[in-house]
Parts: sequence; structure tokens; C-alpha cells
Amino acid sequence: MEILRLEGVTVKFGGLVAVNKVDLHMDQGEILALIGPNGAGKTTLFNLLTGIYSPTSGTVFYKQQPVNKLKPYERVDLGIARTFQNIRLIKNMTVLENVLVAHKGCNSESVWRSMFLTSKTKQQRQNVVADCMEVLKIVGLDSKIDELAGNLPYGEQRLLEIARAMATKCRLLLLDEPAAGMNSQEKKQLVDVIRNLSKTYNVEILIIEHDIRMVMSIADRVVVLEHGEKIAEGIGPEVQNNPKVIKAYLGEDI
Amino acid sequence: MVNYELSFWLALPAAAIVSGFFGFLLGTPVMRLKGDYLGIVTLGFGEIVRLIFVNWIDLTNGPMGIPAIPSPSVGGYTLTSNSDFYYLVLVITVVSVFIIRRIVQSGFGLNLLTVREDEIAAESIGIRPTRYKLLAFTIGALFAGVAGALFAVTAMFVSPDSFQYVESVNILAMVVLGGTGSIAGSVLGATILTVAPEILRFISDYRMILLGLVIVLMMVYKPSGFWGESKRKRNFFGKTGGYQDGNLTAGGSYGQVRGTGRG
Ligand SMILES: Nc1ncnc2c1ncn2[C@@H]1O[C@H](COP(=O)(O)OP(=O)(O)OP(=O)(O)O)[C@@H](O)[C@H]1O
Ligand SMILES: [Mg+2]
Repeated sequence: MEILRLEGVTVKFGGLVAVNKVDLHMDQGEILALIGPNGAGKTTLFNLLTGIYSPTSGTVFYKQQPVNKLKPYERVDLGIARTFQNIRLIKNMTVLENVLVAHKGCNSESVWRSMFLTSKTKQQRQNVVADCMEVLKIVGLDSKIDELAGNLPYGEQRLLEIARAMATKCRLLLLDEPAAGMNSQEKKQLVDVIRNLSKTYNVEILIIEHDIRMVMSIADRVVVLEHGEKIAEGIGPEVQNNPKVIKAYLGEDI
Repeated sequence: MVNYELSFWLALPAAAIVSGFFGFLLGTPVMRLKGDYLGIVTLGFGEIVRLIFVNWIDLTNGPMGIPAIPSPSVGGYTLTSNSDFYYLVLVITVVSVFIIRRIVQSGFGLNLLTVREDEIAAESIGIRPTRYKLLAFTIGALFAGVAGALFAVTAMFVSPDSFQYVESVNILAMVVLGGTGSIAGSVLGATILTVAPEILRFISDYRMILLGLVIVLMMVYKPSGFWGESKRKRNFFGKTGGYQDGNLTAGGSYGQVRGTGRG
């Protein structure tokens, strides 16, 4: 079943065409990698999918439903969540709080329920905490719940962002360069986490990544962007040997 | 209370609701503004309200004010002495602090913090920034209404002069001095700015200059105030059960929920 579909999507910033008539689709259970040189429009595409920008033209369909007009928080309710290339954790909140606040059971708690704090509410909170602990366990941060997010090393902040996105109970997870700044050991752990999320939790994953070895090892399919245009698409080796892609990456180690 | 012989205990929530409602009304259009601009609009609104009070003679008796506001009574006993009023204010303050603490230490409070720190991050985890900004504004106005009601019965007289622009500034100074983002800080700031002018009476005319100086120095050297927002040590939303130091101890709620056979 098709989970995501873009039809002729264009995003312009003034005269600059950041995303140019891109068609794209994602199937259920898929891990799709989005690659391309710096400034190709990858992050812009994510901002478009999450509703931070809306397309200048074209349509985004999520589960067959057009979502062009939906706000970011409405898309979260539909099951789209993301991480950011420039990490956007709440640095002065604890690790656990960063995850809690993404959980519907926590962030939809009403003022009344907070004020009266019945034993039922307490029990609900207990369940939310347990839920979030489980997510933190997947990314291996369950032993650091009371640390401030801003005090974590870079690699762990990226993992925490993944945990936060998962806490929204998303169906489609968008990861913007999750391995940036990680050493090879951490990258290995990240690959395991991503595989686990895909298999155990059945989330579709769209990942932007520059490390081509990592892309080849986890992606079911690869889409290549350059200057906002989709220049290639296919399974790993196909794309890797595509002359257009080699040309786009010339000078970079592909 | 004066015109309709309403009990204080009805007038108090009425004041809170009316204030909250106007906070909501004012908040709706101005939520797009940020920082200083938002502050300017609220101060401006305060002036507008004061001018309306001066001119709406039928309701407010204009600049003459409303005299002889009756004292509240508790179970047949009418509050008269200063200490009676002290306890009234104390009780209501304690209750307010309790309620505000509950509000801050909740999912709702975490949402507010997230929106304050990063609206884009908030939106991308399903929080509506404008909604929470508006609610914060409304709740603030609600408690201002409570304070207003207390002021009226304690002073037994209100006129537009009681709500000069400097009053708003004074309240703002309490928060800045005590420390933003902290309930204890606000209480401390309010105490200091209420007590200090009394203690400093002997230097009469210079005390305001002195206070101004202290506030300026504070903003330069310790912008977090005397008792600002504290570093968070652990979440207050819910207990993590038997989950400590990364080890699951027997009987922890986490173990039970996970069904790992420990429950
Ligand atoms: N808000 C914006 N306003 C104007 N131009 C923008 C904006 N956001 C992105 N751009 C431009 O759009 C183009 C694509 O940027 P984008 O961030 O999507 O690239 P990217 O593929 O994510 O690159 P990188 O690999 O460096 O992260 C760039 O030329 C960028 O300068
Ligand atoms: Mg990018």
C-alpha cells in the first residue's frame, strides 16, 4: 500500500527553486533514502512534508489524502514525525521530559486535569511515562533520563530526537541526517535502531544521509535530488552506478 | 459587591473570570506579537482600561472611585483588623501558588515550556503554539483578577488612580527582580518590592532611585533574578517507578507495564 505520494511538487523561495516538480512515492514498511549534494533541497522537502512550508505548486498525499493545507501539528496527529538536521531539542528540559512532551497522553493533558490531579490522572501519567521509557530504551538512553538534553553528547542528542519523534506514535518517520557528527561506532548503533524501528514498530522511514555506505546498508530504495530536481531513483547499486548521480557527486567520495 | 450586595466569595471568582475573559479577548489578536511588542501592547491596554474607568461614570463613578467596599466575612465573622486581612491574603496566596504549581508541573506546563523555547519544535511534536500562548495569557489574567479583588476589599476603595501605569511596571519589576520562570522568585520579588520601600522610608525621596538602580544592576549582572528558574533535575510529570540508574528494580511500574514478569 502506498503511504506517501508527491505529485509535481515545487517549492520556491523568491526566485530560487529549492524543490522542482518532484514526484515521489513511498510504500508501506519501506526505508527510503533521500540523497543529494549540499543545497539540493532535501531539508526543504522535509519541511514541506511536515507542513513548515507549503508547496508553491503540486500536491502531497499522505495515505491517499491531500495534506497540503495541514499545519505541522495536524500532520503529527496523522502520524508524520521528524528529526531536525540542526538539532531542536529543548535543551533545558530533561531527556525524559523531551520525550514525554511529544506523547499525546502528556501534551494533551488539560489544565483541569493538571489542576485537580486525580488518582486516575496520576495513573494515566504513569502509563505515559512507561510508554516513553520504552521508546528511550530502544535508542539506548533509558539510563540517562534525568540528564538535561543539552548536556548530552551530540550523537545521543540525535538519538533523543528520534525517541521524541517516536513518542508521537508516528507512522512515517523523517530523519534529517541522523548520523551527522557520529563516529563509526555510534553509526552502527544508529543503523540497528533504525532497522529495529522499521521492523518492530512498522514505521516507514525516510532518511536523508550523506554517508553512502550507511545508505546502501539500510535503504530499500534511494532517491537522488540535485538542484531541487529528482535525478535518479532505484535500489542502491542501480543508483550508485547511474552516470547522472556520479556527475552530481563528482569530487565527493561515492 | 457595592451595588448588588454580592458576597466577596462570589465576587472573587467573578473577578477572576471577567479578567480571564478579557485576557483571552486581548490575547487572541496579539498572540502574533513577540517579546517587547507584546509587553507594549499589554501596557497600552492597561492604559485604555484605566481611561475607560475614568470616563464610564455610570459603572465606575469615574475618577471619584468606588468607596465603602464592604469587607468579606467568613462564616458570619466580618474581617476587620489588618491581621484578618493578612490571613485572608495569605490563604488565597497559598491556594494560588498551589494551583499554579500544579499547572506548571504537568503535561500542560511542559507544553508551555516547549512553546517558549522553540515553537517549530513544539509544532513538530503536535503542540499548537498559539493555543498555549493564549491559555498562558488567559490564566495570567485570571490570577490578576484574583489579585484585583483582594486589593479592592483590602483597600475598601478603588479608583482609576489605583491602576496607574506604574502599577503594571511595579508588578513587572517584582517578577524581574525575583526571577522569571519561578514561582518562588515571583513571591520573593513581590515581598522585596513591597517591604523595601517601607524600610527605606528614612531616605524618602531617594528610595525609588535606589530601587531603580538595583533593578538595572540586576538586569545587567544577574538577569535570572534572585531566585530564577532552577535547573531541572528530574521530570515532575510522573514517577519512573522502580527505574533507577538504568537498572530495573523489582516491582517498578515500568516492569509491570512492560510485562517483563516482574510485576
Ligand atoms: N527559508 C528559506 N529561504 C530561502 N532559501 C532557502 C530557505 N530554506 C532553504 N533555502 C535554500 O534552498 C536550497 C535548498 O536548501 P536545503 O536546506 O533544502 O538543502 P539540503 O539538500 O538540505 O542541503 P544540506 O545537505 O546542506 O542540508 C538552498 O539553496 C537553500 O539556501
Ligand atoms: Mg539539509
